[in-house]
Amino acid sequence: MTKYRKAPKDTGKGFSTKDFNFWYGDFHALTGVTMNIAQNKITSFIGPSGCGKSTFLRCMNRMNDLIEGTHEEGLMTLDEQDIYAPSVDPVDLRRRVGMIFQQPNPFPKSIYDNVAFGPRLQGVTSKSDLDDIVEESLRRANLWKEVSHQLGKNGLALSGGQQQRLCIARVLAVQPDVLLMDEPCSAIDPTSVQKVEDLMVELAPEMTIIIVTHNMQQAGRVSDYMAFFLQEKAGEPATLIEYGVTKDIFANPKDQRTEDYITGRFG
Amino acid sequence: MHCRSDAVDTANRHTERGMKAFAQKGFCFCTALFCCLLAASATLFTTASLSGCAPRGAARQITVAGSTTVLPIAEIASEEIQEEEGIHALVSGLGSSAGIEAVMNGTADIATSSRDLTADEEASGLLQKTVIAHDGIAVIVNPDNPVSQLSLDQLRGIFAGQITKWSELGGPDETILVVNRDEASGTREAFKTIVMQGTPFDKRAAILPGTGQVRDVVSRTKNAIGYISLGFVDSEFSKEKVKALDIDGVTPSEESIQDKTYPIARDLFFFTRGAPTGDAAAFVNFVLSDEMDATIREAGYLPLFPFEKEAEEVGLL
Amino acid sequence: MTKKKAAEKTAANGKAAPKKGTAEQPVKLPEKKAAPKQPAKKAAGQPAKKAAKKTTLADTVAEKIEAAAALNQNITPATRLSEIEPMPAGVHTKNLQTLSKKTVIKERALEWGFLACALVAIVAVLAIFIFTFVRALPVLTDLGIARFFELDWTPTEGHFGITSLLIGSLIVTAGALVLGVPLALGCAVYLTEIAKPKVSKVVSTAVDLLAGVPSVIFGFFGIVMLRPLIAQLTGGLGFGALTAWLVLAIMIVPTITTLTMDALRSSPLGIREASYAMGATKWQTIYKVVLPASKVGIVNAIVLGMGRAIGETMAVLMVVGNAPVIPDSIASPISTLTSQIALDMGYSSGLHRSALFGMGVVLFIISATLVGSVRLISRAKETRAEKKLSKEKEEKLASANEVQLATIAPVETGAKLEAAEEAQESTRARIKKVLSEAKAPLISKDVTNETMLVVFRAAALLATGVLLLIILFVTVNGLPALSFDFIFGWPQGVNAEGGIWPTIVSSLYVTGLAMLICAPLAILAAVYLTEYAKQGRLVNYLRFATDTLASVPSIVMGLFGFALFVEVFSFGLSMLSAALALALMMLPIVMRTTEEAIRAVPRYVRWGSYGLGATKWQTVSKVVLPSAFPRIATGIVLAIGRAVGETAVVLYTMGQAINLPLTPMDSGRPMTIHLYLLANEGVNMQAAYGTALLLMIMILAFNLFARWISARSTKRMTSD
Repeated sequence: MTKYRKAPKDTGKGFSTKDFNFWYGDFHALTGVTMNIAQNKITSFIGPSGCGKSTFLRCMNRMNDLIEGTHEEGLMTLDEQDIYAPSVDPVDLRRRVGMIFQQPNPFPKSIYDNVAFGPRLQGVTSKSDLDDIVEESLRRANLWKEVSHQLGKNGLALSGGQQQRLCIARVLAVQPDVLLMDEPCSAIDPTSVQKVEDLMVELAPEMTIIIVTHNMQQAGRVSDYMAFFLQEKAGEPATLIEYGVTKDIFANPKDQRTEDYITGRFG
Repeated sequence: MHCRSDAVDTANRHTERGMKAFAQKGFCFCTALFCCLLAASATLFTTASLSGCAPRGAARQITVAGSTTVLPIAEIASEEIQEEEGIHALVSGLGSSAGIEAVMNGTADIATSSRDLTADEEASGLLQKTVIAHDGIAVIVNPDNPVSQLSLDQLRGIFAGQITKWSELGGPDETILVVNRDEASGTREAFKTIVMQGTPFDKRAAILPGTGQVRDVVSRTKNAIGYISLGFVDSEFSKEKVKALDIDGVTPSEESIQDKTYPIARDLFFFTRGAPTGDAAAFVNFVLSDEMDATIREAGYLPLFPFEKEAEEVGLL
Repeated sequence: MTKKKAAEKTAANGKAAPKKGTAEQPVKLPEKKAAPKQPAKKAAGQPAKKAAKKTTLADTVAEKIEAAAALNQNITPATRLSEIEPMPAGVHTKNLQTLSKKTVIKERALEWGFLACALVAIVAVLAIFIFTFVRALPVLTDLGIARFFELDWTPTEGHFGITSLLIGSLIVTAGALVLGVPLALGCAVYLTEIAKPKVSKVVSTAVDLLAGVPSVIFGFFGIVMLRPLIAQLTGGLGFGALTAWLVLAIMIVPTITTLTMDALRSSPLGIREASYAMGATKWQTIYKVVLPASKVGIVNAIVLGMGRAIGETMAVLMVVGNAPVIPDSIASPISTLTSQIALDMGYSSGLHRSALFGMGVVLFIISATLVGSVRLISRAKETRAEKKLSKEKEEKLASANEVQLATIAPVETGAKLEAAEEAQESTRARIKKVLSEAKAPLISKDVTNETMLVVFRAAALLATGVLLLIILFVTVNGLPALSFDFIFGWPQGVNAEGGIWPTIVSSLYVTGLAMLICAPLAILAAVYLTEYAKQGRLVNYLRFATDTLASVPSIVMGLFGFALFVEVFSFGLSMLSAALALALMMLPIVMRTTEEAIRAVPRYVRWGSYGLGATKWQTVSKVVLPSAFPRIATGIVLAIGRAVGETAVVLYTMGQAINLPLTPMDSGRPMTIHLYLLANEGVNMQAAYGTALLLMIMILAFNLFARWISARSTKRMTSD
């Protein structure tokens, strides 16, 4: 049973799940996840490898649809709309729910084209509008100063940390409501990690951010709420163990398993 | 997507781990062996089969080169003479000219040719000529074509590209589709000499490098016209028929070729450097023998009359 | 369960591996961009490439270290070796042993030996050019270049103008590309991006196998199936550009498809995920992200396909109709450079023959140019200067920078800051408006998506369908002809009834001989390129030479073989002449696969060996080559499959007489030529179908055997 620690209430805004289950083919990966995600706050998902936290994150913009033979049960809503309803176009969902991946993955195009990609998809054609969007997004991603003089440079020519911020700028360009970050800092150097974390804190007042991380300190530093996932036995589905305000969980975990994990006893 | 990359990663780790343990010696050997076997087996098989069928070895060897027209005859003769007299004749078809050149410069013993010597070649005085068969060239059209006879002039007009419609020849108002042979062909050479008489061929005509191709195309294309050796007009291999045209009012047939009334006919030759001797002479005589008559007919040509054969045979020393 | 486990495993592993990537980022980058240039093994796909990239870097570093070490050793102990008195045994047991002269000499000698093997490629390319050029000289000097490029080709009248043939070649190639490229691209995109993994695996294996079907079989198919069909449709003979287009398009589809698939697979996986996460549809992802990312690889694939089309001889020869004129219509007979060479070579002499060699030179130059342009394209991508920005944007940027400077300026007042913030707010609002007001395209993205996916599926279906049709056609018609007597019997009678045993033996004989010549050379050359050579001009030349050698049209190789081996070396029309020419054709193929195989051996395996005190040669011979062996063997067997199917190169080097070859100096007739002659004679079609089927089965067997080897080695390695 999930233990809740001052967990957000269902406000009818943002993400909310009820008894959410997920399968990869025959493998039951996640079971009984019930949680509301706080609007315009940072929520972190933590847990050992294989605990389903990434899977759950990828369910939130239906990236898992791209894998053959997956299916879900239960309810997952965004602004009270069932995102798995047959009428929902996952493509449109993803425009509202942006995602950052573990490995920075800029397109092998210019920086400008990378950022303009999303707006162009949405049909923005005016050069001046695009210029504005590109500049604004790069500014918000704290990358503008570094690249403003070389927007024509290939995105792949940037350093790893810059690439990740470029990816963030690329997502910001379409003004998503929610930003999903799947271990965004595990593939970049420590200085860049700092920059990305700062950026998250800066962005939080305007958008909901959900971050999957292996790094307990990072979760503690940046997130307002924290969710601990665990797969107890191999072969059994993982689930949400404890969810609530980050500080409370760190200070005084209710569940023994949470405590074991955050004190580094396993995982 | 995620999963795919994971699977690959896992595979990679496995591969790397496996690299450390070379447990594949036997397998390596197996593959290496296979490669060597390719060459070795080919050689072995050859040795085995050759020693089986040619116990007397390859000491008695002659080289026969030249016309592709005569190639089938020469090949069969080569097989049979190998069996009967142990003479190993290496036969190749490179075209009459190449064969004649080969005999002149001594790389071949016998040149097979579907044309007579040119003035230059004649002038060298090196070569001895032996007629080995007659060949009539039939002009063929599709059986559906109403035209059934042409004059030599009309034929020339068609192949020169001056007559382009069947309507000009009493047929339907359709374009004549001319099928010519390649320049290596002895049949073309003969056709050129006898029919074209100096008028150039129309270069727009399709050029096909084989008798069968010409026959096949004409038999299946309504407005096509081509020429092939008379012997191939009726083929036991093909259901499709072609129609041989009368030329200048003469129907092509064995009789009309033998009595020389059919205009488009020629002889097939062997050329040797001087009078043939030894194994080369044996080969020439073998081709002229009655044994080969059936083969020559099968190849689409007409064997010589007995009196002609007597004149051509070489006295063996 | 496995999927998720694996997912999390990578997540865990990710920490170590990608960090390394990041650290190496700036150095690694050029390598990354150069990657599409290297045709990597399909089966291994992207990860193998990644590994290769990493090792290349490590490679250069390690090599530098080695080089430095070698230098030191050379200067000090080795030079003084002679001056030093031999030490009594036992005195210096604790000292390090001085480098023995013998070892140095041996290693040096080996290196030079390998270099010599590698240089064979350069020598061969030069020799091919020089020999064909020298043989072409008479026509150029006697006739003059201007007359050589006239329209009129009438050898009997002394007109040797090749322009109509050149135009024929271009027409045929262009049409084939127009038809084949979209089909191949669609097929490749479908297989890599759309199809389910299982479907993709099966179909791409099939396409791979089809890439090995010899051209003479395509020509055979064209002549017996397509020609009558087109004759009926157009009312002509059915010979001409149209037929050639169809046949060639079918032929280049497997080539372009497999190369394009390589290119698509080597683009990073993450960019697809990123694109989907941005809300792009599948089609948008393919069109806007994946295809642009693989542009260079795709262009290379097309150029190589073009090279194959322009150099194709037998299939074209059989269907174009061989009339050396500018055609009236796409359905009237034309001729091409390659087909005219093949047609005339047998009987030509004097200036005529010289003109054929001249055409060979032209073909050689065309194919070398194509190879050169591929290299230029790849390199241009590497060193491409920054994209030029529009003037408007540059101005904007300049002003933006000023604003930025102002913002950073220390003397900034609070008011200014506020103003800047407000301005930001307003732009953000404006952007929101722009985004929300952006017009949806006329045709909905979903409709476009669905339509394009259907188009891709159709392309894949059509391409594989046609290829399967050919196989089916040959099989159905050929099966009745197959019998023990047919395979092991001798041809009887004028029309080659009976068996085709001597042709099978000739095919295997010449292929085996060619491989005996080519494989050792190629492997040693590859060892040089991967283990010894330092990146530099020589290696560049070597690669250019091997690429050029690989692209030499087989009929040109045949011409060269005839000029050098048959005539100059006076090997005559023989197994040896044909095998030598064939070996040169196979050399770059085996070299390339061997190189890839060696590169795929992990660095640390070598380090392990060096760490135990092995010399370079010991490491190469005892560790690297054995590890790479299965993949080398795969490459060789694939090359054998290709060699068995070669026709044009042996047409005028081996002779055409049906003969069971005993010594390498004997001539013979391989299966491919037998099929060609049977198809042309058109009398004994039964035997032609049988030969075609047997030829296809043999090549298929070689290809499957190669797959078996690689599958088996993978299994071995993963079984523990």
